[in-house]
Amino acid sequence: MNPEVAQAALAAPHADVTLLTMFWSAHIVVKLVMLGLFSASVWCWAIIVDKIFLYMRARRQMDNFEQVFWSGQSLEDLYRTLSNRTNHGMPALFVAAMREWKRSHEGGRPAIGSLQQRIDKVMDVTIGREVERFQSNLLVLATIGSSSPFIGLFGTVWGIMTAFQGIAASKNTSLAVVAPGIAEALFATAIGLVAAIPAVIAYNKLSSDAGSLGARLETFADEFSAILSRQIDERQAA
Amino acid sequence: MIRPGLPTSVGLHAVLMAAILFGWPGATPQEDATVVDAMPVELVPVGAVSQIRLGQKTAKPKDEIVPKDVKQAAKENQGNRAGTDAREEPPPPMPEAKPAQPQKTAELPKPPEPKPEPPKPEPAKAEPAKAPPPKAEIPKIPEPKPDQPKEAEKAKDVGEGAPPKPKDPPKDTAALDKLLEEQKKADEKKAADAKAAADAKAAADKAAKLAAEKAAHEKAVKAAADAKAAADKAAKAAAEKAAAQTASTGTGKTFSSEISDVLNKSHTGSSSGRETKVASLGSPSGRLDVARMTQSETDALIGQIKKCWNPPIGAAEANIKVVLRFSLNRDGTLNGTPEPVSVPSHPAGVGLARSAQRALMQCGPYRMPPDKFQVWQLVEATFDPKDVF
Repeated sequence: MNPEVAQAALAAPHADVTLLTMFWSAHIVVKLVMLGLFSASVWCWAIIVDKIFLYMRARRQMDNFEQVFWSGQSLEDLYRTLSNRTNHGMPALFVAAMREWKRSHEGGRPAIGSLQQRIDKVMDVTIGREVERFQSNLLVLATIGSSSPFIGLFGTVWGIMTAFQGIAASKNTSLAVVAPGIAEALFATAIGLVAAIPAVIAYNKLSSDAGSLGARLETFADEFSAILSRQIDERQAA
Repeated sequence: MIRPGLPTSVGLHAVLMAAILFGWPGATPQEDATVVDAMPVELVPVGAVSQIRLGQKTAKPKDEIVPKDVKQAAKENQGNRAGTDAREEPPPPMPEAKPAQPQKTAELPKPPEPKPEPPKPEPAKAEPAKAPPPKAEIPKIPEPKPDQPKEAEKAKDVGEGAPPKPKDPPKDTAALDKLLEEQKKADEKKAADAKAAADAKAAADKAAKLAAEKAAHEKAVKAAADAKAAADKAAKAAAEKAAAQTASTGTGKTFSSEISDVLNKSHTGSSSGRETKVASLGSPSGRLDVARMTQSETDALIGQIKKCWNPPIGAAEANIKVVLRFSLNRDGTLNGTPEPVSVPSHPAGVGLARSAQRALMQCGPYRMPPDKFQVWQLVEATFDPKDVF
């Protein structure tokens, strides 16, 4: 009956619901949630990319080293080439063990008595350090993967709360009034899921990779320890 | 050690955001929902409905039509008769019209208007020589009209509003018609002008003329001094005949005028102003050619909806209205569920919207002109419970 009213009702709902306008029209809390989740997603992907490259490099390094190690090359030569540069993974393990061996044979009287234990200890420490390097930041992925859906949900609940407050204020229940608020609120959950899903998948994949790399280091350490132990016993017998 | 992760991740997210904001390369841009204009339909009081026609030239006099009180309406009714008659037979109607007043005044206790007497002599003259007097009186017609052109128009409208009139004339006028026809022949020129007048009006006029003529006859027989008595008798006789035939035209007219009066009052009193109603004719975006729907077609839709609509009790007093938007299929059936555009926050608002929804769903399919489907496929109907009561 009153065309002005009808026109106003028609004009009120903006069909403009792009993601950007949705973000800018959101409540400050929802905005913070969205920004937090977005940065979490950035961080999470940074970790994923880093880890993937790290594991690729570590695997390649191990392959190369094992090839060289089992090629029958003199361990002394190998140590000499490796000892004057920083190493990671298997070379680091090898260098640490060889350094302890060398140090025990320095001076007039070699300390061979508990050399085996010392070498094992040194290699354990190195393995621990390497595995820690492999697994660092994986917990961040786990945390993002488990918590960002909840954070997004919080943003959604807050946004819907705001939307309903808007309804109460405008005293108009038409869907066009409610829809933008709810859409923007759901956007928060969407970002949360976007951040969480890759995080969870990558965490599972990367942690299993880190575990297999660590196991490979353990295996090498045991084999090397066996070789050194044989040498020590031969020298003691001699 | 190089850490490619962060730059890579940032770049990846930047690309993703850019894709979301500006669209994927090669992806068709999301087309906007096509804005379809809704045909505005308003369930409004009678007065307002006719006002919607204001957009057309014929509707202009609408405001003048509104009678202010019943008395005036009654006068106008007779006036209208006079006016309408005047076209056919200018002279007789004038006098007749005045005698007619006594009829109604008799029915409606309004004696003070026995003034018709002076004019009566004219009808008397008219009888002896019907042809001459009309011509002589022709000039008079313009005189009365200037006085109450509006009233005449109003009276016409009121006459239209009063359905019973048409029934009266046929019986009474059978004999009179001949006389009238003679007169008409004399006045044919004017009659041609009067064609516009509705048949119903003509019939009503004839009835009035009958009375007037009788009175004139009596007067001719009696002395001029008896004119008043004769006039009264004639008026009474006419009134009685009219009443006997059907609901008396006088009462019918007055009653209808009362109704229209009430309607008009209520509607003028309502906050929804006329200006706004006139404005409602247009479509918000200006794309819809409202003019393509004729008023009768729109009225048909409104009437069909109104038939099924039972607004919840209390909604009318609450002074609320609800706007529903619904789309129709080509066969006139409802497409989907009517959606409230705005529901008033009043406690009765939801009930009102529901009742309007029910009405829309019950009353289908709607008989609409199929060739104008583009216009009425989307309708925005305003439900104002005040209109129904």
